[in-house]
Amino acid sequence: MSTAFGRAGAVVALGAAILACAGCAHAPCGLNVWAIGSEADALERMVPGFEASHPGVSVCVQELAWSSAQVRLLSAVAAGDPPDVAQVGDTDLAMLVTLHALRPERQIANDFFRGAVHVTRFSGVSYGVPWYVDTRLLFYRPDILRRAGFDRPARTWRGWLRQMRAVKRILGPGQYALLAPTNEYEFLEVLALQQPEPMLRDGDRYGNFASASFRRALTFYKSLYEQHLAPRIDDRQLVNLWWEMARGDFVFYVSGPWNIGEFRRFLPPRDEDLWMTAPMPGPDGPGVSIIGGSDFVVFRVSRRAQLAHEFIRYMLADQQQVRLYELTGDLPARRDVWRLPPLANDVKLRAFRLQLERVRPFEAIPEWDEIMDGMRRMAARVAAGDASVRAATAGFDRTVDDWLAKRRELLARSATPTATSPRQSDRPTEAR
Amino acid sequence: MTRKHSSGALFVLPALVLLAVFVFIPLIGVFGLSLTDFDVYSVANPANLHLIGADNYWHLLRDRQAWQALETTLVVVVVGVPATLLLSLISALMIESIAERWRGLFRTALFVPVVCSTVAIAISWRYLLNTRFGLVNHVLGLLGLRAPDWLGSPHLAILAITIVVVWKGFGYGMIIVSAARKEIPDELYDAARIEGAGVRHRLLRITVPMLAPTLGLLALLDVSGYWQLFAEPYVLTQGGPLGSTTSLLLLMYERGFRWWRWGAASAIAMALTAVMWLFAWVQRHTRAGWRGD
Repeated sequence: MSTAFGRAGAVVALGAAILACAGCAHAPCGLNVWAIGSEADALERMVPGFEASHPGVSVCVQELAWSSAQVRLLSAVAAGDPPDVAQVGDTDLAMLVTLHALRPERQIANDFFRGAVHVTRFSGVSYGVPWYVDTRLLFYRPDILRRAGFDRPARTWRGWLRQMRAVKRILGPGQYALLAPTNEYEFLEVLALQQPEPMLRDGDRYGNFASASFRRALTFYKSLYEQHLAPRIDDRQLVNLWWEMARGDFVFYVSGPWNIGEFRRFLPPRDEDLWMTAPMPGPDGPGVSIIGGSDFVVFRVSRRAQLAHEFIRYMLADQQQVRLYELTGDLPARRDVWRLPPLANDVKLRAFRLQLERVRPFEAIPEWDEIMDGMRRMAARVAAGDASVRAATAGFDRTVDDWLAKRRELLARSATPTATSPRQSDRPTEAR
Repeated sequence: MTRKHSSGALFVLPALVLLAVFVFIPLIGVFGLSLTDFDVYSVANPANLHLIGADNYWHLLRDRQAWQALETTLVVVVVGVPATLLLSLISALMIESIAERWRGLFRTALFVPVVCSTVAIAISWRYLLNTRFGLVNHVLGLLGLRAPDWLGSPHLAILAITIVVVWKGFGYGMIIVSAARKEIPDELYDAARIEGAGVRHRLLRITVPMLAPTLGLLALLDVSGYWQLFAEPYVLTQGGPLGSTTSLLLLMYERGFRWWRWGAASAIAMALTAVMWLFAWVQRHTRAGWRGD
């Protein structure tokens, strides 16, 4: 009975969707742009400026949710009806490139962060224009660190561990040196990227998680929970991590640029000095981190490629890059923009500026998201003491090999040249 | 005779068309998909689509995650369905025993979770069950009990999910049971009372047997609903901790819509369908037994 209602609901929803879509088809859109979440809001506000410089052109911005953006884009491509321009998250790019859905792009500026351009490139061809960038680094409590006897966060794992242990001694019960939610994979991904060997081997054909490199990263990760330096909680158990951090519940937190805005939103201005940012420590010196963010892409079937490129060029101009930062807190993908206020004056952004020069790209293959999710699950079992590092990594390699079976087969036939990006051979080595 | 038949066919036609479009055709499609390695590479180039026979099913049989998901879903069904039925029965009978003017209030209060959005409910429970700041642990603390990590430990998380599911579901059964209870003739109770039957006897010998067909129907609905457990773990735990709350449907969703392995996801869908058919078949036969027909 309830399923009958559900079905009727589905029919109604479908009808509504058809009507809604009929509506949008009638609107005279000179350019269809799909963007995601708060970036869509920001674009909406910047569109009038573009329209003013292009009389007669109206731009329609459609907002997608982060959780469903990839599904929507892929469905649109499969149905042969994608927009002209879309914002695509870095890790989602590989999937669209595999589908031959995107137009190759010339880089329209020469001051992009190198890592950001790198992740748009597949077999030497670029398929997106970096819009904003994102990385992970340390947020920390300078006052507590000073009380423990340190001026600034350490640059090496060893030094960082020493600091966390020292900090833990002066903290109260229920307070921890580090917040590293067990449902996020990025922290472990950063630790693994800091190692000499990549996580996949032989041209991304096989898992390489049983390598000494990854085991070292995982052992370090595991020890943080074992020594009770970090609590075994996932981020859904946090009610308001900014308050909790201000209260001293956590001293270090590995996170991304959006948290600058969040800290300022949730904490009063007088608490501004309670938190600071610093680059990631590495195994033997300043460490690399991940590179993320979003790109603009133009779809192959678009008949307005010329206008699309003008749109992208407009959005990447200094003024719009600064505006995007002001509206969303997204970090500009172009280095020169960082010399302008307000970015230039913000001390909390300095660590990001440094870290963004010291990044290592992920392996841009369609299976990467799934592999990272699997790695997170595997790491959670190891952190909980359910499996040893050696057994878990060996088992995970077998799983990953399974997932990559089709990729190996295709590479053997070399049917899809775009899906093969020999990343290892041209990994940037800023860190070394 | 033939005219009668054809007009009858005309009447059932809309229902049959709906069933075909929304159930049978997709089911055949999903079965077909489950015999292929349909994935993102296949969308890119149909030449990358292969018929791989039962490979997806063999993989499923050797898949630790799938077995864990089956176990999780089974726990929710096996614990959740009887708990829901029991609560429905008890709450229906209790409401009947209180003063007439309060009945509406209590009935509404217990029914509200049924009509609330599952996602809203799951988010509220996420706050209630929060280890450090949640109301549940606060109350346990006042009672001097140790505060457990509800959504952080594998065994408790699945229990927490079951509690939420039952709490959301039992109000519906309560309404159905109260309606069915009104159908039981008062004469039966009067006669029993005259014969000297006590409360317990009247409950076990009249109320429960007379309600059995209704409870059987509710069980069928609950079983099919709980096998499709999805929104609660999706919102509360995202399938964690350690995969302990990943239901079959959640696993299917992840394989299909997050990792684009539609072949593998379709195999899970077919397995789920098979399991539900099996359950419905067993239930139909036991229900027929209860009724005595």
